[in-house]
This record gives sequence, C-alpha cells and structure tokens, in this order.
Amino acid sequence: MSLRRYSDTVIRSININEFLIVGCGTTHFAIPADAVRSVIRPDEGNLTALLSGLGVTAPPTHLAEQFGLTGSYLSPDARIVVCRRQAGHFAFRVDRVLGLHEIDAAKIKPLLPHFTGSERQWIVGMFLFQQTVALIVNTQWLLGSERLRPFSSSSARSVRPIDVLMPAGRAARVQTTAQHFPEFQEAIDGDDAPWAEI
Amino acid sequence: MATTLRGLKSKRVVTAQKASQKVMLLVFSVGGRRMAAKADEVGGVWPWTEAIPVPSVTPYMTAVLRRGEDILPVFDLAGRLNVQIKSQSALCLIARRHDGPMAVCIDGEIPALQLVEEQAMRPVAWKDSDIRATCLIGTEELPIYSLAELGASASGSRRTGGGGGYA
Repeated sequence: MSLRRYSDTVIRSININEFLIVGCGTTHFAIPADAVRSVIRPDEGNLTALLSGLGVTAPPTHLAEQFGLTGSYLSPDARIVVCRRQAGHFAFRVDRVLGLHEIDAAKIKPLLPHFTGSERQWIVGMFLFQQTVALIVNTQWLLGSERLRPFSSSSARSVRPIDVLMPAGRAARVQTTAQHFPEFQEAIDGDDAPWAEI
Repeated sequence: MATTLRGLKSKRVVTAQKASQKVMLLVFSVGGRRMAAKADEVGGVWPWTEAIPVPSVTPYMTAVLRRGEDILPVFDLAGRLNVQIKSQSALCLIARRHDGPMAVCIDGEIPALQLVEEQAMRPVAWKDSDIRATCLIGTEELPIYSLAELGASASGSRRTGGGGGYA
C-alpha cells in the first residue's frame, strides 16, 4: 500500500478579463483594458498638447455624453481616459477612475432582456462590482462610431513610443487567458501613484 | 339511477366552485395613486435601495438595482404615471414579468392583500395601458395592472405621446 497521497485537485483554467473601472455620476462603466492607452489628469499642464502628443486631436468629451446623458465637468477626481482605436486615439472625460480590475468571465452577465433599445449595442455585459454594478462598454461601438471625429493619419503616426507603466502590485499577476495586456503611459508626474491604483 | 344522481350532483358542485372563484390582489400605491395587481404576479416587497442609472432608450427602463448577487432592472412606473414618490420611505415591489423579475418603486405605505371574487374584476382593453381590469375594492374602483406585461405598452405610449393618467 502506497503512502503517497493523491490529490484530486484539478487546476482549473480561469478566463479572466481585465477592465478599467470608471465612474460617471453613480454609474460605473467597465472599459476593456486592451482599449485603454492612458489615463491623465485634466489639470496636468497643457492638456491639449499632452493629448496631441498621445495622438488625440479631438477635444475630450464626457463618457456619459456618448450615451446621450449629461456629463458632469465638476468632479474633483475627474480623469481623461485615452482609448486606442485603429486609426488613432480618442479621449473621454470621466468623473473618477477606480483602477484596473480582473474579472472572472463566468461572473459577467449579459444585459438584462428587459432592455430592448440601442443600449444593447452600447453595453455588452455587466458584473457585480464592490457594492454596485459595472456596465461593460462596447468599445467597438464607442470607438468605431461615426459620431467620433475622424483622426488625421499624420497625428496617428506621430504617437510617441509607450513607456510602460505597470502598477507595483501587478508584477505578479495571475496568468490569464487574455494574452495581450495593455501598456500604459505615464502622463506627467513621475512621483505620482500609478493611475491604476488611484 | 345512482350513477345519474352522482353525475347531476357533481355538475352542481363544479358550478358552485366556479361561482365562488376568488383572486388574491395586492393593493399598493405609486405617488399617491392606489392600484392593484394579482398577488401571484408579485415576487415580493422590500425596502427600496438606491438604483443604479443605466444609459437606455427603453421607455421607463433606465436603471438597475442590486439585490445581493442578483441584478434587477427597474421599471419607472412613477415616471410612466407622471407622479413622484417620496424616496425616503419607498418600497420595492418585484414584478414577475414574463421575461424575468423587475423592480418597481412604490409608495412606503405597506401594500395590503385583498381577496376578491373573480367576477368582480371587470376586464378593460385600454390603448397604451398595462391595466387589464378594474375592481371595486371598498368604495374605490381600482385599476388592476398586469405585472407580467408591465411596460409592454410603454413603447407605443411614448410614440403616441401617451403616459400620465392611469397608463
């Protein structure tokens, strides 16, 4: 009789999705992390020049306004989220950023069937987040829409090389099935806490 | 002979049961307007918790509500009726709609169960309305909402500029 004990533990592969959680009013949106290029403070120096350097030529609009809602421009914790798209980048203002979060795909639910309008195109899913609910933004719709101003190809080509900013605690991240991780660029202050931990 | 008698007797019993069929209604109010719904279309009544706005163009469906691990859509019945609810003491009524449960904010006044004769319910077929019948309860003629189809008529109502009144 063998003394070796066998464990029937099965290493389960977990499908993890990574989102940048942002707040607009009391609504939380989850932006897939691979669509996010950078997060900057709106009061950081010359914002226009900064955004231009990131390849953003259109002025940032409030994320809430993309859904026909009224966005607040008074939040002291406001941030500008720069999103990447094929032919350039686009910037959205949000009331606050709650950081990057890895979410088990099994915990993501589709939008409830009671919602039958265009919102089914805007929101691709939702999940429980802290004491509230986060709505997953359809970045294909958000960034691919004709509503967004077209970018000049010259500005798209002038994007600076990315300095990778990895939050300190994220070095030993769990292995995920999504193999392409976003790279983030630090805005201005090197001594600031990484934006993802704000 | 005996067989015939039993047959006649049982027929009389069935008729008597039909005559006394009763329906349990839940009487509640929204912005001061009293109304009722079949109790079997109600999934529960809880204290109201803060709703989370959702960008939406579905009429009167602009929020969700978290209840433990569940996420429920919120139907704005008060908005449909153009009335206001005092949010401090509001209650959450769970409507058992055909496509899933839905939260509705109602007045803080505790809803009451009322047993009524089915025959006392007078069916109505109003345009752009979720009301399926009216019923005299006490001295009041109350509208009886179909919670299973609540909001189904709202799209048509919005297109035709309806809403307000007893929508």
